[in-house]
Amino acid sequence: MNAKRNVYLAPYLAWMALFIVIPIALIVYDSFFDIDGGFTFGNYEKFLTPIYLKMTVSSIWYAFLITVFSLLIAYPAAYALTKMKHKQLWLLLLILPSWVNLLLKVYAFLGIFGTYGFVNGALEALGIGRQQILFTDFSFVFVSVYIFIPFMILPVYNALEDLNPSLVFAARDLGASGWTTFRKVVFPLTLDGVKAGCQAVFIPALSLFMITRLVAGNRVITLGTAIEQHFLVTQDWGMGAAIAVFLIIAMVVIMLLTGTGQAGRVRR
Amino acid sequence: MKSLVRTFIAVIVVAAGLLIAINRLNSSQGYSGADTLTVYNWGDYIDPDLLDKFKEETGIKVIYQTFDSNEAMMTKIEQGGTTFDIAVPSDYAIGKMRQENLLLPIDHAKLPNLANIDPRFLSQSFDPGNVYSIPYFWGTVGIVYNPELVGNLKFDSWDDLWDPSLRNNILLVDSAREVIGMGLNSLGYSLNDTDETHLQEALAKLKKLTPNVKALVGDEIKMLLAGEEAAVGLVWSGDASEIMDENDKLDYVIPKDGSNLWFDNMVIPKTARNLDGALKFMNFMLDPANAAQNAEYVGYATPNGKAMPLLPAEISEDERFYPAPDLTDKLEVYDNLGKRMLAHYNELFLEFKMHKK
Amino acid sequence: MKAAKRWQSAYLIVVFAVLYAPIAYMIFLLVQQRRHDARLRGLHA
Repeated sequence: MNAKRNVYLAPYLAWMALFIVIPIALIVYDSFFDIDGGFTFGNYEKFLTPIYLKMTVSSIWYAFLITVFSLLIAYPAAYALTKMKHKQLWLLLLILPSWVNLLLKVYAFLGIFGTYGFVNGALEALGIGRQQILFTDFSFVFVSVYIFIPFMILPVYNALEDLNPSLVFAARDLGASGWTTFRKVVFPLTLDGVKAGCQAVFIPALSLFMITRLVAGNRVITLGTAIEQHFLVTQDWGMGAAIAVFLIIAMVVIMLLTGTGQAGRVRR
Repeated sequence: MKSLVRTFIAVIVVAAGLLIAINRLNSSQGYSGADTLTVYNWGDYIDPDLLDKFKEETGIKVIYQTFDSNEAMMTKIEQGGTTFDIAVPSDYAIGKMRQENLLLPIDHAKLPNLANIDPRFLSQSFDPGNVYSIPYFWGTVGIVYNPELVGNLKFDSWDDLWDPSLRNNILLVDSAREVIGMGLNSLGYSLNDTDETHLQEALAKLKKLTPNVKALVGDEIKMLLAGEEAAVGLVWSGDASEIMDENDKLDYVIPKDGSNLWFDNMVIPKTARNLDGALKFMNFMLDPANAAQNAEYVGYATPNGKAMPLLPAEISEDERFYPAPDLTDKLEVYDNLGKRMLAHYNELFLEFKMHKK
Repeated sequence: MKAAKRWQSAYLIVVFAVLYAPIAYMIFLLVQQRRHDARLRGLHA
């Protein structure tokens, strides 16, 4: 029985070794070499200089903002979804936009937020006048939240679906107000979904890079931007790998903090 | 509902399969023999009529393949498995390819038309004596601006960019050498300067530019400037001519205190199979009539001196794209500073980007 | 209860509108480009 199971397991283990363990090992290995190929700890020393630390702090701050806003928007949406008649259809509609190429959607925002774009046209018609929206912190957070929203809604929706409705009825019968019911019953019971959603958003948000250039005009610099630059422009793979190692460590820490919960449920 | 989802997935899988099949078919073409020649060039960087003309004259059929960055092109040639007979890299990439032995020397005896090239553009630092490369197009780095929106600034000097009236109105290309080079040039230093105090001075000066910088962007800069997202932009002259084609209100200028001079040169990569055809093609492109026709089509500046009289006066006398010799003397080609210095330039550039308003 | 339901629907519609806005905008641009191209071809013919 056991041997048979191992046979079935083999392809998955091989897959994991080939596409997860080996690449990570290679990244760790690369991070110990300088630009000329000599062994060094210098990349990590460099990571501890003010410029990279500042970048780290700002990456975490923006990722935090993106996660919070995603959650604030996604939770009510997921809640409303569970109350709808054609849930499956709504859910499909929700997933559909994530099939459209990311770059295409981001480019659309260049047109929508531009000085002579759609939103500014509307603002001017309303008498507010043109504002700079593109290349601001606002546009960066908005577009990132836009990209990540489906990844937040799905786990929260699943958790809400799993919630036994009789618990809510019981709370109401016992005299709890709507808000108290939510606070004491619904939210704690869906916390696993919230955690999974936060993981699915926070971790990729830490290493966003394309959006920082297209929508934030490089006025927001994240660790992802630095990695991209080191690998593609400078060809200082060691430094890029060192930053990537930091991100992997950060990821593990976040996983441990939020508990593994239902993390396996929603993955890109 | 479930079956609907399944159908959707099936459709997507089939579509992806077809896409892969098309890609395979496309890439499996392009063998080189004695009567075919594979040219690896930037997209839309040659007049297609010239390829037909070349076939009529020599009987060699040209297979034209394109790339969109020097790095992508170098990787493909390095990996082998391709049969590119001609490639058209930029200056710094030629220096790099030469060091890595990716190029074959060019037999000048077979290129009588090489004499047509303006000597100003020969024997540059990236390839002394033009052993490995022949100039194809050249250009500069300068400023595209909207004269209606910048008051009486003329951008004769880089310092005009620091004018407080341009607050939040400048777009820069997201490229370390161009931006740091501009900082160095504005202080009167060479854009190949490696002196640490000079570089720090340039960085400090660039940080003062931050309030004026709206964004640092990539290729989108063309679309954004043509759409008047900002009044001023730091761009390559090739991009500038494309931007001005789309929006004729804009103008281009090269500041007098110096800037970059860049080249795209024809080379024969080590993957070449049809060496004879490659030399014939180079000689063909160096012919004044062909060079003029190509320059008119592509809109970039030709280094071919004999082709100049054949161009319409409005092109050849346009000092923005064919600056006079006293200005080109002040322009510098990027030296290959080596990986370490380049990494340092990028580090400084990153620090500049991190600087908040 | 009914009012709550209406709010929920309204909220969902707003979220979905924003979610589809860029895609709709892209399609709008595409159609515009097509028309523009067709007009140019008409001029040349």
